[in-house]
Amino acid sequence: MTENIFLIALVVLAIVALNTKKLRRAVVYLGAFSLVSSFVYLLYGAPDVAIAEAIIGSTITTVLYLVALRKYQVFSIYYANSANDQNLRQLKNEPPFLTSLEAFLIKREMEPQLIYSGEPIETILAQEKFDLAIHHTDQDIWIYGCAEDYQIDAVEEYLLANHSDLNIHLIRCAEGDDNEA
Amino acid sequence: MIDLLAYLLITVALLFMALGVIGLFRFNDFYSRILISSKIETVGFLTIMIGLIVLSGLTYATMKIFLITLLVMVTNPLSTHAIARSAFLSGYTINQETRR
Amino acid sequence: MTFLETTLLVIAIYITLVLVRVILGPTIWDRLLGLNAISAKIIMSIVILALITNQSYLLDVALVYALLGFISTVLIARFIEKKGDIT
Repeated sequence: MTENIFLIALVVLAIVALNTKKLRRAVVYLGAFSLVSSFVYLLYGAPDVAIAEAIIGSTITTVLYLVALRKYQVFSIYYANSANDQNLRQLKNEPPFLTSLEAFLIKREMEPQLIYSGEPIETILAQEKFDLAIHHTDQDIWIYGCAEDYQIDAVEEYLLANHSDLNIHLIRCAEGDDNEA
Repeated sequence: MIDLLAYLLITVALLFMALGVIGLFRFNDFYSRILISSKIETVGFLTIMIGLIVLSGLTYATMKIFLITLLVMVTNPLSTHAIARSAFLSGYTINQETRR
Repeated sequence: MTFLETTLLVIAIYITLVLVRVILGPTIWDRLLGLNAISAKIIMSIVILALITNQSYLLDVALVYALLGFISTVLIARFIEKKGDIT
């Protein structure tokens, strides 16, 4: 009876940790997974494996996942231009602040992925999965970012320091309410 | 006779932990939850460990259980303090409508 | 079914209930609080299992958890507090 409860809890935790949307929640789920699996090892009579799982699962794996989460690589940028939307296809030369932003991101060991989009900005904000969404109107530049992304602060500081003549507005979206994990 | 005392202590500890688990679902905002959960969990842990020490008598294993109790009494409030400090410094505020 | 086995079963049910809070908690700190509670309950379960099977070397695993179990909670809490800067 007790064994069955712990085994079902293991399966549920593994599925939830695979299907979550935010990566730092998956770190918490994996911590609980390693706790329960260590007790299951003890129930089947393997205390040496349980000690190894306790040390590795509770300390080393957490540190490794957090460092990997810090250096999360691909940074996708959506760029929507509503100032001159008739010739978006012939837009060969990028605006100068985008090239400097890409250089800044490469210097911080990330890989920027720039996507030109012809759709209006509301569609992008509702549907796509983005790290930065840039909306370029006639005189203003609106940048939408996720509030819990840790690179946004550095990006804002860099843009306000170097391109203060372009009147850039930065908007932080709230944390989503996706609790279905 | 001494076994009955140990069983009584363990039953009281299970009641304490039941209060803690109910408190996790009863309250609405995070600070109430962390208050009721951490206090009740620590008291329940102390009570169940005293019950197990009384049950197992004076052996070599009893000293190990005593050492485990001392260590958890130090580390469990420390991690709870770290969580509460992280929530406060990250700007978690209580919504006024849902406060009971 | 002896008294200690019943106690182990009740603690297993408590762990399942706290796991519901971990999976569905609204903020990340609720999940961390549930992880902390699960860690304390697992230590209790290991001690009770060592008394049921009468093998006192199982207590070493509980000792390791009591020493190291709080490190992951403190690290994740500092990671969120410092916006990703763990030093």
